[in-house]
Amino acid sequence: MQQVLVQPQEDTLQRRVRLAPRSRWPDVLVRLFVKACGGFVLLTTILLIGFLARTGLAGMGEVGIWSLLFGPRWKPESQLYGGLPLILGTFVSALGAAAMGATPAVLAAVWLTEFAPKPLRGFYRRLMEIAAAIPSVVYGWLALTHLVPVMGAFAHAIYGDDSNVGGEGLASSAVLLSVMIAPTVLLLSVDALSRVPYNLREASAALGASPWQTGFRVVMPYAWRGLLVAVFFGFARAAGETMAVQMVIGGARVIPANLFRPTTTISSQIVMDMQNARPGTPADDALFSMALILLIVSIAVVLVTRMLSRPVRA
Amino acid sequence: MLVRSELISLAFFLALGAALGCDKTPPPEGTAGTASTQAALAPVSDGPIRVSGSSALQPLVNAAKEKFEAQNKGASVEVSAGGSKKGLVDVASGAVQIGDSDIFAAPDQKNLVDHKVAVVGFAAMANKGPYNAKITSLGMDQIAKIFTGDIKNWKDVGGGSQPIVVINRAPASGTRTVFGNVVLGGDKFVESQTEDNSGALVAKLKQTQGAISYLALSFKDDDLLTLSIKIGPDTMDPTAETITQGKYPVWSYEHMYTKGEATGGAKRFLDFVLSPDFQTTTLPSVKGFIPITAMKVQRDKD
Repeated sequence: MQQVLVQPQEDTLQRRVRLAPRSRWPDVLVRLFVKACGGFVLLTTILLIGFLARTGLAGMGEVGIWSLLFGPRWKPESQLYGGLPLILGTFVSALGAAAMGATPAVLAAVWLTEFAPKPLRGFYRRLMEIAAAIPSVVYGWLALTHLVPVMGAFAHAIYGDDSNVGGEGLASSAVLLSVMIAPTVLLLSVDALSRVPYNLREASAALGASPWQTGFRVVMPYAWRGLLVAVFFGFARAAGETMAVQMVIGGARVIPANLFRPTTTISSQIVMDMQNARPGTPADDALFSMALILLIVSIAVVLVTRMLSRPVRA
Repeated sequence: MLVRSELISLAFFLALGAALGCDKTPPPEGTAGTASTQAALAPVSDGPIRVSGSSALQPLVNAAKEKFEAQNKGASVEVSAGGSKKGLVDVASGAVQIGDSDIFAAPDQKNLVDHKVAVVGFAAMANKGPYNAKITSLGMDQIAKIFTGDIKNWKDVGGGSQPIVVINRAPASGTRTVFGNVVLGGDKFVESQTEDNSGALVAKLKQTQGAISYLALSFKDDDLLTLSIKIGPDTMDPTAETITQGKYPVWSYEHMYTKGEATGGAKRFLDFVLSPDFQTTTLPSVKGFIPITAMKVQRDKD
């Protein structure tokens, strides 16, 4: 409905701009500048990916792709470049976060769009926008001081007082990330659900469906692509998160025995190691290889998201 | 008209692209080039004197910075900590004028000039609790086995039953390198939790039951258990006396490296730190540091 109203207005607006006097010098300069800006951003991105690919591939050549993907031990100072602990750490925390954070977030979005009282909706949305804008270091600091001790006590309750477990590990990082991604996933889900045409709900109600049946059997299935995109986006954000995770993951470069033992992720290990990686050394190149792997994962997620969010024919 | 403006912008674009594209071909050389230009320029300018590296040495450098800035109007020293190896990398790349380190520079870093400014001792420090209340000293091999992960519980070294949580410093740390070399015979630490700063480590040790790590004596804290070392029949406390006499073995020089001979502000600051006045009056008052001149034993490698 909105589109039909807005479309012709845009058309007339464009026509008026085209009719305005043009090709004076200031005009040309401004246009040139704007285009240069556009090109510059594009070029920066291409060069960045190019550089990362070059150094990363060099690293893969030096230490071997097999070791980078499946080696069990990362210790560059002893020429050990096993990337498995880093990759596992990244995936387990991100998957855990997606499971624990995205599920409630999507359901909350359904509740918010279908059942919540009108005045509450706007307030809830603002609150989530604020939560999504909190810097990650704040989340990390809060988790370190409040979540990690609780998780430590929890771990000892499970494994016994005498076991070597603690608050730092995958469990803490997954819980922290789930809290961090929930607002974003919720906001994206609300957007997806709001795009469901209203007449579907009316038709469903006319057939005698209760609001719950409408919400879960009509609205959610119709918006599934958008909801999936929201979850994927949350996963990508969790996989790339650095600062907050580094504060609670512990930083041990081994595959942990359980969720309450310290380990590491790709991004936090890059932060730890870049300090003493001298440019041009295998340690430095291997680190770039891990960065490249992280980038490839992100690109894959973006591509899947794009495929899913292609408009469906109504 | 439309065509002309499009052409102009296209040409501009291609030029921009070509210019940047050329730059792209040798990126490592390019970055190295800018870094060395920076280094060449830095000592000449009278800007702040930038120092980075060892967090063990940081308390002493901060003390020196205060006195130095008070005595020299307009002088400013910027100190950041991030580990000895970072200090060495930073000074070699020209990012800072002075690189602090607990360890000697690598043999291939020949252009770095060493200034030994102090000596500092290191000790194993642990969380205090009822489980280790009776422990004050351990044998060298016991400490080594704790950090290699062979001893996993305080009860195996005479304490109560409590799992030992080893917390490591990051690989860039000089403290880790020195402690590893002297006590473990190399970097044989069990892989475990990692802190990249001494100050943060103290806080972590206090809050983690059963935790143990290794720190410079400048971070000695009454709320932490500082372990003495049993060597043969003797028990050596980590003190200035035992270190200067060569009886307590875990110590290292604190180095301040410059790239080439020190010049300008960096030279003035180093001269100040090495002056008899600073070495004999200020330095001993900073916890954990020992003046170079007091040492009765010497080393030329870690």
